Amino acid sequence: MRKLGMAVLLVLLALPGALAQSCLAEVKARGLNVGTSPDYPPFEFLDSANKIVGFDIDLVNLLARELGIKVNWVTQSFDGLIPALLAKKIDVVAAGLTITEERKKSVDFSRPYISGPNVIITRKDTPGIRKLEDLAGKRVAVQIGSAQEKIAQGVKGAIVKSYNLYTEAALAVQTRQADALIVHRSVGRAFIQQYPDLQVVAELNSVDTGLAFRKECVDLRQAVDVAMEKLERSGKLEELVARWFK
Amino acid sequence: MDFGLVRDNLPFLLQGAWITVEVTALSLLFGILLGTLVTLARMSPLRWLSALTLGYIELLRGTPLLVQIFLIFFGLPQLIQQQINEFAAGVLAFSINSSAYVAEILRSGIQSIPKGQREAALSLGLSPSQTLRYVILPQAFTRVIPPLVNEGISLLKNSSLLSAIAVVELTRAGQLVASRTFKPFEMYLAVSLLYLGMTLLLSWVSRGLERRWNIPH
Repeated sequence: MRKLGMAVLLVLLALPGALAQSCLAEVKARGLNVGTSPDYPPFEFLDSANKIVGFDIDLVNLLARELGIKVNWVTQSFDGLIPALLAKKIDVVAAGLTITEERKKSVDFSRPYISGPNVIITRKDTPGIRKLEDLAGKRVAVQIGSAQEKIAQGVKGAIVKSYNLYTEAALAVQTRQADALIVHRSVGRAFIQQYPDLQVVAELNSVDTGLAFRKECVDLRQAVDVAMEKLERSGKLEELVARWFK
Repeated sequence: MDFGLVRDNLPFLLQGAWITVEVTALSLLFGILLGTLVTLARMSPLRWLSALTLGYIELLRGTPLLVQIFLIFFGLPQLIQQQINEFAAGVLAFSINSSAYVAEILRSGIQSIPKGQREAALSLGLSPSQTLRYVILPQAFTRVIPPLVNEGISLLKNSSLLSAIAVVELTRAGQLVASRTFKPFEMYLAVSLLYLGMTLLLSWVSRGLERRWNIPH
């Protein structure tokens, strides 16, 4: 009898914990904390008034409106975003995050919302870089913790230079402090507009981009996926893509 | 907590710590050499030279070190049309920055030597420059050992700022592992302990030198 009582007590103690697993209910009550790093145009960047704008910002705002949730934006360094997610400081990472197998070990991703290749960018006066293998012996600028950093590390002989911000990595190539930049194509285009002496010299494999969630927040991720599907069907997602990635 | 991760990545962290040591040692060395010149210029009877040096010191002490690093790393290559690798840019920025602090430390050291010593040396027939070289500076240098070691400790800690220009020193080494493994707590704890080990070693050396030269506190 004592044993049974103990068991009932344990179940009762464990119950609130099990119930608290509903991230969706919690987020609906207190708002959705979305982490991003605004150095990645056109996904997220600061406009001339230093306000965060970009594709991810519009997308998350649309999704939140669909779900009837308030959004709180949390900005911090890119490499700290997934740790912040795991530490429950934020509920979602919306940072043009490439869906990789390695990241999937730690987080769950939404439906991919955009696909596109990574590209290699150099200065126009830098000769001899036409494909990934040409980066051997060259200084390759990327952002710390990015999927592109992984690609650069995979090139035999490449000297990988990891910067805090992608904008700094681009600046390093522009000022000849690095020979090449690996970045998502759409971001690369934005950098080239900013620095006309840079150019795309190679396109790499296409990758998918998604929002990242904590693994236990299944209900939140599923709700976001349903809302995303709705945006796809209504053509709103396509509209958004056209606006930011023309 | 996953401290096996720290063990696995310790060789990489130690490589970073070695870069930290190199940057600190070189910058302190150049900082002391340059700072000695700066302090002599600062105490020069030539008014314009002294004023110029004061401007130099104020400029370096009044702007953030990280901004100075960016200025040299991103700005200087455009100015001189010559690449500077991030290690050299870092050592350059730290040496220049440190020279301002060292100059002020040395000046206070020199001014702490009683006037009578200078007067005695001069009256014994030493020239002003001999007085400086053989009487004033040797005494001043032993007195400034403790504040110079402090400068070394702050250089060592500030060298973490070089992570921003992609120098893989200790902080960046930890950051790279943390961003790959998503285990920031374990990595930064290990990084802190490594820094602490290095700074404790420096204070220990400082205390040894103080005892040896019997420096008053």
